[in-house]
Amino acid sequence: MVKIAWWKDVIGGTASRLPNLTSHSRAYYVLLISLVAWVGALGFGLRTLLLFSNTPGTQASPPSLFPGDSPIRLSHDRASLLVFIHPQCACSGATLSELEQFLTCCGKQVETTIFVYQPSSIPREWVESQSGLWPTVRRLPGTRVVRDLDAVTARLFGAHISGQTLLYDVNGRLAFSGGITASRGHSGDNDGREALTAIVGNRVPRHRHTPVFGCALYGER
Amino acid sequence: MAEHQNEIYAQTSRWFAILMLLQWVAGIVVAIWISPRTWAGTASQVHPHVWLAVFLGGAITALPAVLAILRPTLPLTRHLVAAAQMLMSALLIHLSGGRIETHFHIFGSLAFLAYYRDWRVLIPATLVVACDHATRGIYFPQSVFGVLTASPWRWVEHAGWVLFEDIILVRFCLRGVSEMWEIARRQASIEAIGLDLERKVQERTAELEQARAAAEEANRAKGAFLANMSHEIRTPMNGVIGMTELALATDLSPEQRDYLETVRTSGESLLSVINDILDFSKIEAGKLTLDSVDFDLEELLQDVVRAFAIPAHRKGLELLYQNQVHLPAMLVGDPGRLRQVLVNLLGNATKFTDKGEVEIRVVEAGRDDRSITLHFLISDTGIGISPEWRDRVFEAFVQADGSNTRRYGGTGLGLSICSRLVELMDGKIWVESRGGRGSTFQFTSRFAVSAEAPAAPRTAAPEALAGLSVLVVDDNSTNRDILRELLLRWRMRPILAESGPRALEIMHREVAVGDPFALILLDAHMPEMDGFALARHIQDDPTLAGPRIMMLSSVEASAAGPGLRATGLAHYVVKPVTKASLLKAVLTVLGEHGPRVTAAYSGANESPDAMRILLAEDNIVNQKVMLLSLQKLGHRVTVATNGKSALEAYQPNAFDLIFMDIQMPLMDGYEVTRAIRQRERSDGGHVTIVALTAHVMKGDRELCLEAGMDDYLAKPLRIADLVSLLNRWKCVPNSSNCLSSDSAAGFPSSGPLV
Repeated sequence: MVKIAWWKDVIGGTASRLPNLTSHSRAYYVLLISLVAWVGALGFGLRTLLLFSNTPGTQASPPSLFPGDSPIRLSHDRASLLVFIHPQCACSGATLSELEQFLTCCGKQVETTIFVYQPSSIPREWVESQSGLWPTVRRLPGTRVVRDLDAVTARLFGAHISGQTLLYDVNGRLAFSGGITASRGHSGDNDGREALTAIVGNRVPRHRHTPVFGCALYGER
Repeated sequence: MAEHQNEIYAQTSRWFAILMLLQWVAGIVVAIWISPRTWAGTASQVHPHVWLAVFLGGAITALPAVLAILRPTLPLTRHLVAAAQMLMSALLIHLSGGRIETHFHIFGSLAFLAYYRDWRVLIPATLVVACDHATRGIYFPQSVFGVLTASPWRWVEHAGWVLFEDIILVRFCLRGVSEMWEIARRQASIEAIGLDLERKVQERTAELEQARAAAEEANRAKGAFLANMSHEIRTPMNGVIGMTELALATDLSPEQRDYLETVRTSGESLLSVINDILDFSKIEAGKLTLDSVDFDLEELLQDVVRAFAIPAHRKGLELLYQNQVHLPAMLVGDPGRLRQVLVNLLGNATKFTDKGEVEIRVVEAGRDDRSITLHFLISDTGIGISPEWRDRVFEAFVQADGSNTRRYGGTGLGLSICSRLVELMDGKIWVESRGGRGSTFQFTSRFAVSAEAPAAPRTAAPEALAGLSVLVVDDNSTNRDILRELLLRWRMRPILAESGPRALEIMHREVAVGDPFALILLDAHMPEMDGFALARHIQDDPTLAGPRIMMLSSVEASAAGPGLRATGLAHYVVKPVTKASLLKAVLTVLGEHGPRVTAAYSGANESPDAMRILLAEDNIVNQKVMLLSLQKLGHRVTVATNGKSALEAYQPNAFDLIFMDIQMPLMDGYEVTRAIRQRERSDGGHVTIVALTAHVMKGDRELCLEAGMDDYLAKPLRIADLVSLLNRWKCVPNSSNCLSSDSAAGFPSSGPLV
């Protein structure tokens, strides 16, 4: 009874306080319908949002051994960290942010190379646009930035989604493959960054494969 | 309190409506800024975040914002606002890429929600946060906790922080509401006190109103008592004074005459005392108000000084009058009260002066278009007032020296009454005096100038007087100066002589140079050679014959003896000489207008023609006084002892005049008068009815006139007043009505002197 009364109070339906909102008035029904519609709309919208944000891109299929025809050489004194980025992907900003955090703690233990997608049909300026990720990429300390013309290298390493991160140990074995964000464009603690940190720290990661959230690198999401 | 709470709800809801709209716009801007498009290689499209910011943000904002505008006080509104605000936080966090800083939006929003002072709005807000985290913790743990394997209860930790703030805010809300209640209680208490105070004020006002009504009733009773007392005292006084005057007119032995004179004097003194006491009572009761009627000040002043001519003469005093003001024709004020003040001050001056002179002087103290302020000075050469008593003489019951009361009589109220009357006349009164060297009582008074007649000098002399030589013979230098000033003002050529022989010497000298005097003004009483002897000398000396001679005397013509005509006087003027009276006399003497010998001494002793008079009076003593007085004056009198008898006695054309007492049994004077006037309306004619009453309170005269009476005679009756009134209403015998005749000659003791 108390609960019912409380909700009545919330709706403001007591006749003495709001005579035009009695349980039989037209306004009352309009309000109720509006309320239901509002809740429904919000539920739909929030669900869409969550689905969009938490649906990962196509899973990568990287070679388990560092390929010999790679444009870069495998480092033999440190693990090799490869990150594939679409320069205009807003969601990958979160990836770079997480990468920066990882490099802050463990940057000396890895040799980092960032492959920035460069379509051959589009001028270089498209990559280096100030509104894109290029300024952030250039700002990351201790990293090597490589233009990946027409995503040839990405294809070589089986990467499909911007934000794809691969870690090869000094022996060229694949140690980690996945994204380092928790959801699409969402910064914060995530399994991918935790896994990298564990591996370079010679600990056993809880995950060696994580979903990647971001734009498609070369024509598919 | 509820009203105040509603105000807070409404205001806070409106703020949130604005905030939510801003947040919606901000969300869209953030989405466009951070993630405008999504890419697939070189292809791109609008980022879903932008659409979500538009549509989901709009959906979150829409209903709460609309309700906040349309139904700002509705509980549902603020609960929806709370939920929507948390959802908007979630959206903004999402759109900003999960920035930790954006999480502060949640805590800021919670704090803002506390503005409602309704802790319950924190419940839906907290539930939204908890549900969001719980749901996402279960289904998308990495989206909220960043890891796929987070503890399913980690959302509780997040919700716990929100609850932490909630607890603080709930306490804040409760504290706020508590303070609002306290303020409301205090306000209610103040209002209750105010209402109580207002009620008490109303009660007190009612009590005061009752007290005021009681006081007014008491005042009315007091007024009625004063009127009754006035009447009850005056009625027997009328008998005493009237009968004494009648008795004095009979043959009496010197001893009897002395006794009766004493009775009359005592009666008049008693009447004066009673008048003073009644006036003082009226002043003290605040019932004394002044009339505002047109009056002729010059005439009033002349009347007053004439009234004191005989008493001053009897004491051997020189009574001087000097008016230095060009008076407007008519002033507006209370002539009766002004006369009272002047009579009182002149009476005192005469009373306290044994030798020398008494002077009344009027000068102008100020004037504007609508009013004039006059300064009256009454000087004497009497006993004066010592400095220690000077400031107290205007206090009630005070005489300058206690022994004076015994020596000179009086209540000591006269000056106090004068003082109050002068105050009422918008003036002030004071005295300058030195013990033994006389006093000068002075007062100012402001009068409006009547619009009835144009303001113009009253005593402008005709051109004919200019250049005429006049010889003034008077032993009193002040008198000589006054006359000289008056004559000079009329552009005459006065020459002054202080004695008879000196006058003769000057006359011979002027005749010798061919400039004889046209007019000679003689003082009757001079040492060595009096005015009459000088007049005879002039008459007897043919070389001096020709000038017109005017005698100025303190005694009346009738008292001057039968040989008056033999002196060859052209005119006889009783001092004090007033400007108007002297000019009139001079013009008469020099042939400008009027008879050379006036009624004053040619026919003053003649009785008026007999009139048929009906006397309606119930009081036996008053009846007797009136009857004897009227019969003595040669009139035929019919007596009616009550109002009804008077009405029965009345017949058209049967009487020339009716004296009507006001208070009578069966019918009072007013009723009888109304009945007579009613009859006259059908029968024609108009008999003169004169009220005869001891009612002398303000308004009595108006009541009499209103009832249809023609005149008013106050008791106690003075023979002089009676004669004056009869002369005023003198009529042709056997005619049906009498007309007022202001030009009629007066009674010997009070009539006009010129």
